Amino acid sequence: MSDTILKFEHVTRKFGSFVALDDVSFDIKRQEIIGLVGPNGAGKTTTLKIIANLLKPHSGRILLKNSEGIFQEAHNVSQEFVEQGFLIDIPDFYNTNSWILLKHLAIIRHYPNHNIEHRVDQLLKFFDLYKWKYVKIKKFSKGMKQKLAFITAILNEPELIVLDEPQTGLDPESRIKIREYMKSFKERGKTVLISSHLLDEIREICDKIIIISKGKIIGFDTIDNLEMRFKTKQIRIDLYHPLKKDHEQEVLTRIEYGIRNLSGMISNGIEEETMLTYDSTDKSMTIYYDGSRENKRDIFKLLSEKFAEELEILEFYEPKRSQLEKLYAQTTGSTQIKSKELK
Amino acid sequence: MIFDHFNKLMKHMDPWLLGLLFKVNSWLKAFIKQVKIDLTQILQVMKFEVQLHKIRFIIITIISIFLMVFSGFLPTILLPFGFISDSPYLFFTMSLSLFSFLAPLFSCLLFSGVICTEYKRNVGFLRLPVLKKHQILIGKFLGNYFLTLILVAIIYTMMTVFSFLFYGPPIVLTPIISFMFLSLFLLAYCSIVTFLSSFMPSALSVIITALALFLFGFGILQSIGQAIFPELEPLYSLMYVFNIVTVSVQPDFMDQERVYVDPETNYHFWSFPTVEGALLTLIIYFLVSITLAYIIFRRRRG
Repeated sequence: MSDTILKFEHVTRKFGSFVALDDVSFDIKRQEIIGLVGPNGAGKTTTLKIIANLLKPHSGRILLKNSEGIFQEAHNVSQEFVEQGFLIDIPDFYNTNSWILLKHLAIIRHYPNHNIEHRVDQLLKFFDLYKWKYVKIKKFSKGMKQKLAFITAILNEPELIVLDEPQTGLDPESRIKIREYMKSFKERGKTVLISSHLLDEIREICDKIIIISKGKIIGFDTIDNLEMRFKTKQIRIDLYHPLKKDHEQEVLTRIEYGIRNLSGMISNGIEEETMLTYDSTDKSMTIYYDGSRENKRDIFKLLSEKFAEELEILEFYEPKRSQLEKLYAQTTGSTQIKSKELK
Repeated sequence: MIFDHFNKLMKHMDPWLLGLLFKVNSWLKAFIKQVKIDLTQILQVMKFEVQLHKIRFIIITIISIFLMVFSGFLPTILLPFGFISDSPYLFFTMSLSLFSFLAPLFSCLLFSGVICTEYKRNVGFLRLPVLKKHQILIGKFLGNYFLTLILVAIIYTMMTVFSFLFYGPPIVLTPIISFMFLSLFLLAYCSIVTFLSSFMPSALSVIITALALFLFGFGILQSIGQAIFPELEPLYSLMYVFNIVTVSVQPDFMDQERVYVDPETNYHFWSFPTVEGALLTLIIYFLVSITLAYIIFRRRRG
């Protein structure tokens, strides 16, 4: 697609005896939006802080491509050559107003002097903060501060933007605005690395995701490829009637057995995972599979032919959302989402 | 221009030497470029720091002027209980006695948060990846020091004006020497405050510690030092070194007796240091404190 702008090579970082990152390697290409997901303490923020040069790795190296197209180790690259925007740990602000702060940040990031006011106004207007331009930031609400923090990261139109949980706690409208802005960034050839717990947001904007757990990368690919690899693609079946109580368990076991016998469905330890969930109140069934068209067809045939009597199928479809949650839960071993799904 | 001239000369040189010179040349260019970037960034941090502390500085200046006028200048000149100074030099000395407490206090208020506020709820993350820590430290230090110097300059100017009003011409110029010593003293003292700020959790704890150190710490240290080594001049005590600020307004201060020795107990009463001693002590305090502050700031993560 495009060229690599950041290389993370065999990076290990420890805090005392705790290994936050364990021999982590990945490459990020230009014009990609990469999502970094994982449970708390998985090593997401450590990864971002190392890229931001706020932490040094104990081993391995981070190579950044500078404006001359040469890879240099991150801590040796002058900010003059690599344009990066960072938002790490949603910071608090200095006791001043947003205009003075943003102007200062634009200057130290070498943004052209004559354009600063226009740029600041443009961003403040887009994020509905313009009328607060000369108001002290300490009077801002939490959401406003978060939007301002996002503005600080994108102020100088950086080539690489590193964002740590930029949307947590924001209202839906602001989330949409930030999402739209990130998409527009990609269109302008920029690269974004974003960590978030909001999996739907990640699914919405990211080209690829890095799943990280216990300091190791478990998966790094497009969401579709990962879902295929970990067989977490979903098919949802809405039923007209719920299954009869006395046959429910038996029918479900038979269906699951049938699905498992489809080609390629048993691999990568998937047999340990639940492939089928059933919700009697919702009168719906969810089947997890590898996403292949053949298996989708076979599942449909299996249900419509062999279980025609037991199941009165209303709808058979692939939901767009929440598949990432299953993927996340399966790959990181998170029990929270599983139990929520199995309710 | 100079580099171009060298390049012409180098055509006739040994290739090894030529290579070496080219390396030195490119290294120098890179170094000069880095210095320029550093200076620009430091200047921006300075400007921002001054802007941040503008209101605090105005309030401090108003309070200082009020206190100095009504507790320092006017009572010294007007009150009829033997307070009246018979010469402008004595007037300066007495006024500076009050200011000797105010100047460290107010500079402490400005400097207390130099480093620790950068870690207050990660405020520093707004600038840290872009700016280097030495740029932040130097910029913030110079910004606050600039404000401190303006405050001191205002007080000294007022002192000179009051002296002129009450004692008449000629305008006394010795306060300039005192002003220079006080500036240097504040440079050392503020670097100690910056050092404290590099590892302490909050600005308040820095203020309390720095003031306690100035008001009691150095005094206690001096007492202990003199008890053990009575003949050793207590240059290690900033409290003692500060005496040169008040005494240097007198034109003949270099001829004055600096130490009185009790013949019975051999106890040495040191009144003020020599110019060289004061300069050396203050510079050492400044360099050591600011270096330590930078080392700790560089290593500090949260």
